[in-house]
This record gives sequence, structure tokens and C-alpha cells, in this order.
Amino acid sequence: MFKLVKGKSDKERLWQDFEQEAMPHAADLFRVAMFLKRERDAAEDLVQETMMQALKSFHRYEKGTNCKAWLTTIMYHTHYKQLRKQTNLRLVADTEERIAETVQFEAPIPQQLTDEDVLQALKKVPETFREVVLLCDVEGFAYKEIASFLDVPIGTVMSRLHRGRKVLRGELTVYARNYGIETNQLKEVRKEGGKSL
Amino acid sequence: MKCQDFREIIDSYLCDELLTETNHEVLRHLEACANCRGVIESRRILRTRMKSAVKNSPQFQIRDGFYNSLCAQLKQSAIAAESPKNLFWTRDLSWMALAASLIITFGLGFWFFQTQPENLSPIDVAQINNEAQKVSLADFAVGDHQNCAVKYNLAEEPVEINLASAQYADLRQAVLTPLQNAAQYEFLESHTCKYQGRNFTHLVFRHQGKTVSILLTDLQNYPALKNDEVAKIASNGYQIARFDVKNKAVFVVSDLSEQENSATAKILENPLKQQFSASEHTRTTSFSKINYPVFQTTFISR
Repeated sequence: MFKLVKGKSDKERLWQDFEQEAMPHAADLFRVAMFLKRERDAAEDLVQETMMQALKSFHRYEKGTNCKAWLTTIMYHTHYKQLRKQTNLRLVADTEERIAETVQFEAPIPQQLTDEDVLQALKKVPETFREVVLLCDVEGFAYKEIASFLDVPIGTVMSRLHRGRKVLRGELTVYARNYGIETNQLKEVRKEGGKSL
Repeated sequence: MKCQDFREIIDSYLCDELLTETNHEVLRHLEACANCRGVIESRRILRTRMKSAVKNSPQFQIRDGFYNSLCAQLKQSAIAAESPKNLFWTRDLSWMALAASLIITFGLGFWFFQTQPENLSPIDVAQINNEAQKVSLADFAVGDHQNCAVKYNLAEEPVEINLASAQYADLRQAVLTPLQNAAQYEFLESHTCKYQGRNFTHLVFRHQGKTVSILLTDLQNYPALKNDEVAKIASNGYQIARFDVKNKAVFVVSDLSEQENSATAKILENPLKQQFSASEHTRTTSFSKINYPVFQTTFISR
């Protein structure tokens, strides 16, 4: 009785909007997926699933709001769903206190640092902390947004950030040493018998 | 501000996460302290280096081939898919005519009952309610718990709660916080879902090895509980505890013991009542100030 007249242009407009709003964030999403999965194939699968889900829900997206944060929220939901399917174990950041206690001082950042130095130092930061550091300092998400992605209180985000950055700065002192940068702080460490960073 | 305090908040300053007043204090401190100017510069360098290192690293670059095939796949899905929002607006004018006539009918009904409420006696209302109660709200809740939380076997895929609406996300927090404060509730999932046409806001937890559903649904045609307490019901092998907040029923459904199930409801009762007194959860539009079920329409984002 009420025959549906569906114009092709509407679907095309949907795609056009999606392409304009969401697709430019694909590269950013891929980076976040790499933080989460650490393997290219798994990260690509996660991006693909996230984008498919985002397309399905695109009518809920309010134009002009933060599309990258919206997509990242979907990515985290998808990631957690995948984790739940794989295992019933809950991920608990049990290393936080231990790591926090081993950081003794703020390290100077050598000017000569290469990208490879930074990436190597980042790898040594515990995953729980590295994730928030990358989300905040590389992807530029606000603390509140990160808290929402990770489903943790904002105070936890701040604490992980603080510790993660501290560990990173600590790791980078090794490179300072390699570049022959001698500081009072490094001397102090040596005096303490090479106390672990 | 002391140097130690400054160094604690310096990264938040660089992330623009501080209050304006604190920003001013930071700037004042920087003007006076050369050491801290060095520290902030050092941290700026680190942030910049880290950002460029990650963004330039081939490891973190999306492959062109993947991006192009993703684009093609998404485009194909978009062209093939029916977007609910667009679908509505592309229907022909006969739908518009139907919608207009419905609005007029509801409008007239609204006017009629608004002006003559005494025409419908309490007995009539009770009859309407009894008719609607052939399937109890608790049956719906148990059905949703079984089909969604236990079997994950719903006709429509649930929508993640944060994606459904920001208001639901607030509600989620109101449930999460007290349960996470109480020991041994492991949060599993939160979403909005539909069971036999009835919408639920659904949070799933694990407690003592059992799956526990917290379900919120609009009362719509159903009467509120007579007293302001947690009601205990057992149905189909499940323990159900119910309490009401505003125009909603909240169910805790699980196969925990009756005592444990009720205790869970008790944990949630006050926080949810406070949450709802602060703000209305769903966008409910009542066409009548009198709660006659026929004229109440609820829109829930799905």
C-alpha cells in the first residue's frame, strides 16, 4: 500500500557524509588499533570492524562533534568485545604500583634524540601506561575522552599518564648517556649504585 | 607555586587540561623560575618528538592498499544498507499523510482527555492496565536477560550504551560506580536492547560466577509499584528484584540466591533514584498530564 520510494542519492549522500567525516580519521584509528593489537593484521581487522560498525551507526553521529573520539569509542568497544570472546580473564593493571615506585627522578631529554630512540624507549614503558600516553600525547585526546574509552575514572587516567611519562623520561636518560650528556641527576644515580630506573 | 607543584601539573598544562586560574599560576611561576622554564621546554620537546616518531613510523602507517579496499567495502555497504534516518525521509507522501492523520487523531484525543478527565473512571484505567499486564514486566525482563545476557540471541543487535545516547552513559555510570565500589562485581557490557518490542537499558555484570542483568525499562502501560521498596519475584528459575524510579522499572535478574539478588538491587536503589531525580533519563514525551497509557509515547534512541 505504502510503497517505499528510496532514492539512490540518499544512500550516496550517507556515504558521502561518512567519507567526509569519518574516513579522514582512518589513519589515526589505525595507529590506535596498532597500540591495542601490536600486529598489523589484527589492527587492520579492528579498523575494518570499527568502520563497519560506525557506518551502521552513523545516523547517531552528530555532525560537528568530535568524530575521531566517536570512532575511537567504537573501536574500544569492538576491541573489548573481541577480548571478551577470546578470554574471560579481566585485564588488570597490577604492575602500576611496582612501576611507580621504581621511578626515582625526572630525566633530562637530549636534543639529539632520534625517532628510533623514542620508539625504543616507548616500547619499554609498561603497556597500561603506554596506551594512555599515546592516546593523550600522540593522538591528542582529552583526559575525559580517554577515561571514557578505557572505562576507568579520570583520576586513573591522570595517574597512568603521570607514571607513564615518568617511566618514558627515565628510559630516555639511557639515550642521554649514549649521547654523552652528563647531568647532576645522572651522577646522583651512579652514586646510588646504578639504581634501576 | 613551588617548583615541585609546578612539575606535578606541567604535563596537564601542556595538554590544556588545567583550569584558567591554574594556568595563570603556571605562567606566573614560569616568569620567575628559569629552571622550570628548562623543564617545560624539555617536556615539550619530548611530546613533539614522540608525536612525530609515532606518526612517521612505518609501523604505524596505514597501508594504501588496505585503506582503498576498506573504502570500497564501506561504500558498497553504505549503498546497500538502509539507513533508518534516511529511510524515514525518503518515503513517499502517503507516509506523510498517514503521519499527519495520526498526529491529528492523537491531538484530538489529547484535547478530549485533557478537558474531560472524569470521563474515564479509575475502573476503566485498571481494565486497560490489566489487559496490558497479561505479560508482566518481569517476564519481559527475564526474557531479555535470557536472550541477551545469557544466550546473546536477539532479533536486533544491541547498541553500545555510549553510542545510544550520552544520557545513557550517565545512567551507566550511576549503576557502575556503586557496584564497582561493592566488591566482586565484574562489569561485562552495557547497551540498549529490545526484547519483544520492549526497550531495555541493559548492564551486565558477573558476580560470584553468575551473570547478573540490570535492566531499566519504561513503565508505559504498566502500573508503578505500590510501595517504595524493592520487590522480590521468582520466575522461570531466575531471581528478580524490582524497584521503580520515576516512570521506570529497574530489574535485577540473575540466578544468584534471592538474598544476593535483592542485595544487588538494594545497592543500586538509592544511587539510581538520585540519578533520576537529577535528570530525566529517556526522552519521554507525554501528550497528557494524566498518565493514561494510550496517549503516552516514548522515543528511545536505538
